[in-house]
Amino acid sequence: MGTRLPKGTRITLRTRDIVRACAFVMMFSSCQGTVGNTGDATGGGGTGGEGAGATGGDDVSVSPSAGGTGVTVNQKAFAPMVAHMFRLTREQLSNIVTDVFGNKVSLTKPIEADETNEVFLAEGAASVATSARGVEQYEDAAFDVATQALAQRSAIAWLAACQPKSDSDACIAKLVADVGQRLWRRPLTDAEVRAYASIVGLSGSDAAARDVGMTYLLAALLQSPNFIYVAFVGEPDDATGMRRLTGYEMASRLSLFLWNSGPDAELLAAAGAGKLDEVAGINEQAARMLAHPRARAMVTKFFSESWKVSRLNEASKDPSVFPDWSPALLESYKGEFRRVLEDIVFERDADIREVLTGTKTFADAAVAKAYGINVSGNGFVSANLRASQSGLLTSGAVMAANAFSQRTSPTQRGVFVREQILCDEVPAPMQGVDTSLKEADANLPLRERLAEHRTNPVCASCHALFDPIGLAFEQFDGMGRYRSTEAGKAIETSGTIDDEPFSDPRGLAAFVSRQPRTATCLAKQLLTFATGGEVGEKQEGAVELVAERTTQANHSFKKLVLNLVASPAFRFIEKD
Amino acid sequence: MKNSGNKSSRIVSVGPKVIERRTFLRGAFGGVSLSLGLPLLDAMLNTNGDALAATGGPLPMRFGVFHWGGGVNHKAWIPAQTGANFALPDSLKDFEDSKAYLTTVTGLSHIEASPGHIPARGIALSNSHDLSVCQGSCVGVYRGQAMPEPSLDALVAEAWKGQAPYDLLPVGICRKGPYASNSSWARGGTAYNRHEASPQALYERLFSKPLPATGSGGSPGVLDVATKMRKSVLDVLKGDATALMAKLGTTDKRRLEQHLEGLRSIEASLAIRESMPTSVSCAAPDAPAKKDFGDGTTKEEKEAKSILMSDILAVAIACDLTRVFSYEWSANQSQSIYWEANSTGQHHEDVTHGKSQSDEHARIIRFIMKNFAYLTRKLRQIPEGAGNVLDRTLIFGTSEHADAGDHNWTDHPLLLVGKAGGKVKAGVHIRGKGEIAPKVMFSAVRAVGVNITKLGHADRAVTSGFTEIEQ
Repeated sequence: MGTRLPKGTRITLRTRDIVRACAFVMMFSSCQGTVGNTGDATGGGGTGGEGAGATGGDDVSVSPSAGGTGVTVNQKAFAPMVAHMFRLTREQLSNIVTDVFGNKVSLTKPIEADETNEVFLAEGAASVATSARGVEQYEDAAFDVATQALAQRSAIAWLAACQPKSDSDACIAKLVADVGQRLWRRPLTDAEVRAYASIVGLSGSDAAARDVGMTYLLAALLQSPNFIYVAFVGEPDDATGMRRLTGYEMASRLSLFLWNSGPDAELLAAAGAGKLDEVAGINEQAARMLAHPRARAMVTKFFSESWKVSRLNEASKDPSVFPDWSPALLESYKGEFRRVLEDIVFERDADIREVLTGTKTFADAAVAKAYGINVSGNGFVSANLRASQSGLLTSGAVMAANAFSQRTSPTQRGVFVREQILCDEVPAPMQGVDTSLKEADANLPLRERLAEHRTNPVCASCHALFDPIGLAFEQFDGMGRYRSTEAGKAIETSGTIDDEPFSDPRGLAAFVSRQPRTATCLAKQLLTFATGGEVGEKQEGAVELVAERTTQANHSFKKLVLNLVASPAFRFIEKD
Repeated sequence: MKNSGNKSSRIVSVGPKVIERRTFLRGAFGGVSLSLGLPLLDAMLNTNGDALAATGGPLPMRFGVFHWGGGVNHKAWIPAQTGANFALPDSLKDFEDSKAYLTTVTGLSHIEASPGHIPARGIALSNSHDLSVCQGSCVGVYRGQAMPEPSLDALVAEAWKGQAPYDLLPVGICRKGPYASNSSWARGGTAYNRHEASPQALYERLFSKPLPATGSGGSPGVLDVATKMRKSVLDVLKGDATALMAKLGTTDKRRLEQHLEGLRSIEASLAIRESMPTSVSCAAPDAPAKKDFGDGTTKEEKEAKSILMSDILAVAIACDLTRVFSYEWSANQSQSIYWEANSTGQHHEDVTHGKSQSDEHARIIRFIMKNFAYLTRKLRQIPEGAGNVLDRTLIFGTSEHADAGDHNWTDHPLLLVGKAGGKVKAGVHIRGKGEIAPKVMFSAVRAVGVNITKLGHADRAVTSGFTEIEQ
């Protein structure tokens, strides 16, 4: 893990601070408050505001009379999010190495671990700093990759093409310019090309020495902060007075978001041609990238992080309570999760809310056993879920991830639905409250053991917000298996959410998926996933506009992506 | 690796070649793994063996922290007698051969803070802790990880910065648990020094960094090329970092500044290696063959790993590759299972909760101390000047709690091993009269020549040492 700067150095207001206010409104107004725009009629439509551009910038209105910049989006005051520099994650570094050096070369050395303190990896990448040891590890890893590359020279076209005849062979500068651009995601300046090209000649004047020099050159390009870090500085946008991502920065933002890798040559060319300064050009590239197989992993990664499934890798289940928990089962759960998402988004381009409400899944033998359903055939096959199961919401992966190591946690699960699906803020627990469960009640179903959460007015003021939601999932145990009874009693799954009664997870999911703030929440989460930034009040109008357009496009996740990348919240930044 | 240091001979050959220290140290960067001969540093010394020949300056001093999580069993920890004629208690029995170097202080306690292992770690290793209060289910508890003062090892490393190629070497054994690698941190607490958990990786880092050079041999000329190339690359990289920083805002600039600092320390370590005296022979250990030590829940081979780690670390210290280390045996809330101590089923943290003062826990602590004793034995067996390396070393050993079951610091375990050049009263058990534990830490830091005037932060700070152990 890397080092972190103190939290206090963050400048922007956290989304949850803003939404927290709403949560209190919810608490004191019969939980009817919503976050975001509930209306469903606006102009626009389609994917991302073609022709909407008022005075310079699609969807952005600038009113000189409003004082200050007076920028609005969707009739709400707008300001861009602060864009912090990213440190490439290990997966990104690894993908880029393979993209640029081919599949005979790979990142094998250890590097400093990604920062995983926040919900999304991108948030950690935007705040982490590298320790001295971490810098040393980058050096080792870079030399290792460079050494592999030289050993595989004939398999790497651009490297095979440059076997310099002298220190000043023109192929060196060309290689630095070409490969440097792929690695650094922007063209190198002449001075940079010269500085790097000059490394080759330092090792000696014969061919063998120059090859050593080539190794140092490649290792240097890979160790450069220009490679390891992705800075978002932007450039002034005259029409709006804001800072807009440069074309190359947009290329980086798009490729890290959609491919978890660096931009390819075509994306860099689009940036160089100025096409990424316009919404149309951004959408054209984003559509192309979405059609690439690599985009599939993006959807799984997004939901895994947002729904805490990625945390399962480090979690352990107590083997004395869950002897059946195994890495193989976790892989099966993750396989189901991935297959369902790919089916909804890529096979059928269906309503993304099916992740909440779907009645079918793809199960292998291990998943089927966990759910107590029958499947025939090998690998993952289409199967009907049980009547009380609902989409991925009740999937083994999600239920196991949102639970303790020895039992379920209705509180965690309820808070998960509130925070990650509805973007409601849940107030922090009160001070000085004994939160331990009474041992004497150990033989009662958890719902009864947690009764005090709902009957004691002090507890209930908060727990009423999430316990009734979480208790709906009690038919799924701490490792995600279906069960019909607990402590010898049939499990009760009914409850209420925002004063609306439901009888089981499907009823709950139906209610949640109907809420306009669910669509807004998804857009907001995706924006954080893509930018690592903190979405605040000043982006509310822009996020709502993205959600509204996606709603009009039948809640297509692909359309959501296209609407998002066209949004002013994605394109404009505030410098850190 | 052979435990060559066990032999009493002053010169123990572990390989056929004896090569100049300068060459060896560069070889460490040049990708050539060399086997060389002991003893260490002798040729650097004057004829009396008590000062450096080149400068007449004193021999280097070394400082280390040995940290384990989970406290102690007091019955097995506190010796029955005080003074020099004390019988080693059960937990420390394996220090028998190093007893003359062991100072154990009991009866001292840390100043209370809110419960919890994280502030405890801060208090036990830096006499400071993050004052931010947790907001989640742990309301009212100090949970922040940013300790305002550096851990003791980092405090000394800060004072000795630039004296050796590696200012501080952190190594770790038991890695299972939420807080592994959290016992060494720089001032301000934002930069944790992560512990190297693999003997293999530690070895490669210190002794066989595989950098390419022309040709296939190990002649100094070739290695010069590698060093020159590496320096040139570092120059270019520093230029990149500086240029990029100019474009960034405040926070990101600080993040990149930390990266630049990392580049500078690689550069500094190259320069130090180059300027090290010539004509000194120094021994590189054999590369460790064993790579897999199992994980924390099954038959994790802690002792095998610890022996390799101690062997490599001892050579690094003797060769003056580093003067400060952090040896994190385990962290607080360790999830390792001590099958070696006949403790099965429950992991260490679970044993401490409820069975902290049990025989089972005493067996665990004895096992940990046995491994600590091994490290000190290795240092003692490396001759240096008229004595051995442990004569000019001080290792402070402690845990984050005294009784981790109750999360308290009452009668805290405080060990000092080594003579720090004669500055500590070694070979004694001193039973305090309720003094505060940080005084011992204060004395330890001063003993190795770092003249702090205060240790810890705010009202916790101490400004004087525990005089009973000073001399």
